Amino acid sequence: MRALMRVQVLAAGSDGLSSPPLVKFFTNGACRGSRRPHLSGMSSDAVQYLPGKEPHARERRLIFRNVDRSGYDPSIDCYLKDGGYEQLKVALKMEKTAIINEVKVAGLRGRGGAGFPTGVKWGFIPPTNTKPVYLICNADESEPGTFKDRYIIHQDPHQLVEGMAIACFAVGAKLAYIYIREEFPEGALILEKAIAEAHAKGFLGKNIQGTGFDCEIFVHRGAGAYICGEETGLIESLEGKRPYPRIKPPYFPAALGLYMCPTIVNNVESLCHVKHIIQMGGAEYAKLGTPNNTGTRILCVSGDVQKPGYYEVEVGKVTMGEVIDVLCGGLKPGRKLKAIIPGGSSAKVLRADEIFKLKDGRELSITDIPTDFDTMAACGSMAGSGGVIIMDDSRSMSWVINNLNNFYAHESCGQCTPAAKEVSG
Amino acid sequence: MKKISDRIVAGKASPDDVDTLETVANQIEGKTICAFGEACSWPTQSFIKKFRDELKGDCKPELAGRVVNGETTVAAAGLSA
Repeated sequence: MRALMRVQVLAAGSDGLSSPPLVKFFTNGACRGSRRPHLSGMSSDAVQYLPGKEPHARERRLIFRNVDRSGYDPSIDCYLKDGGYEQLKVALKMEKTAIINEVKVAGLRGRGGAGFPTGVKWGFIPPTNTKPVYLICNADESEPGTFKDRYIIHQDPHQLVEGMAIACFAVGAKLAYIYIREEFPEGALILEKAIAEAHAKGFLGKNIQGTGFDCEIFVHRGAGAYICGEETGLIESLEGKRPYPRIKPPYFPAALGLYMCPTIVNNVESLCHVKHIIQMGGAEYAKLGTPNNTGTRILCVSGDVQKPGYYEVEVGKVTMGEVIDVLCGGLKPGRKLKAIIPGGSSAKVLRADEIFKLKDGRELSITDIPTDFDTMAACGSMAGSGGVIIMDDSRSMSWVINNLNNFYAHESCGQCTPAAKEVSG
Repeated sequence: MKKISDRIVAGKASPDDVDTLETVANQIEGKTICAFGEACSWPTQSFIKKFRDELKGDCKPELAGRVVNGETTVAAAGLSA
């Protein structure tokens, strides 16, 4: 854990440093409701935010709509007043294949790192399957530099519960797990409270809303291992074993997953997007962002900028330069940009003076790169989990690489000889 | 990788240690069951590819082939003791 903490020091403004205002938020008193129901329009103009926490004009808040919102608390009453669980009621009247189809049409790509299309993943459950299906929400947010799921869980847990209930219905799962990392003890309590509240209101449990659909969600706390964020390692851990990732194939747990049954593993943010896809309709949702990189995503900016933090933007509509200069208020005075790690610590670093030649003929400097999945991959890195780490000329690259290697040496599970021996050796 | 980069940061590495570090990273990528192999080797590979001179600048050529903290640093070709 020592290694992890050191990485978070590099990622200034990450979880640890932002928690005081969060605590303040939770003691903020009762919910005063919203001025506009959730169903009509998604404009965040109608929502008041806490002073100093207002979203930037370039942001598009879908998932983070209720984060730092004035008078909002994580209780179900507040969520219901805001039009919560309406999408679940809508979804329960839809055909299961229609929901999966909407997600496919929306072009939602997984927000956990790999960017795999969520609807396609859901479609991998064998059609002839007779075993129970499980849904797992991967809340083991352990990639250094990423801190988005934490805010969803802490401030808007019912959004996740609703998204999971819709996803469960779509894939035919009656049992779902939220695998939350050990470092989020308060988040686990908030989720358990949210699930109990949803039970009491009839949005979980047996015969939900009289439709005959049963769904249970359980919170499972991890024990602090980075490797549990890998989906098959997570499944092994959930089964009570040592979290050794499973040998592929099968490449997707949708074929063989938890207890050797079909299992869907999705990131927290991906599952929250499902609710918004049902709300907006797949085609309408696909208009957000750029083609093949649809929707919004949360960028977790840390490092040497004036205002590090979380920024929810339409995918690909904001360039790296705009992230630094417009959203984050620029670099610290007198400093020069040196490097950017664009998608969590595992992403390949981008050097400030590089010119990226893409296959389609475009030549981009580092500040021109749009923050989408495809362009980032074409530039030789990845959009990953959205953790953007900015480094200026005060940083020693030897120190950075040593910091990362210390983290990986500590977190290797020890199953494969190359990773176990060569990282730490 | 950790031991070599520890040496670089401590100023106890030879410039060829940087090349060794890259070789080690290349030997991990694609040879593991899960993506951890890529996750840990990509940062090292990319940092060395793009900041090789800076990393080598933190090393000391005179340490090539010498024993530092009980470990032998990588000797440059033709300079091995």
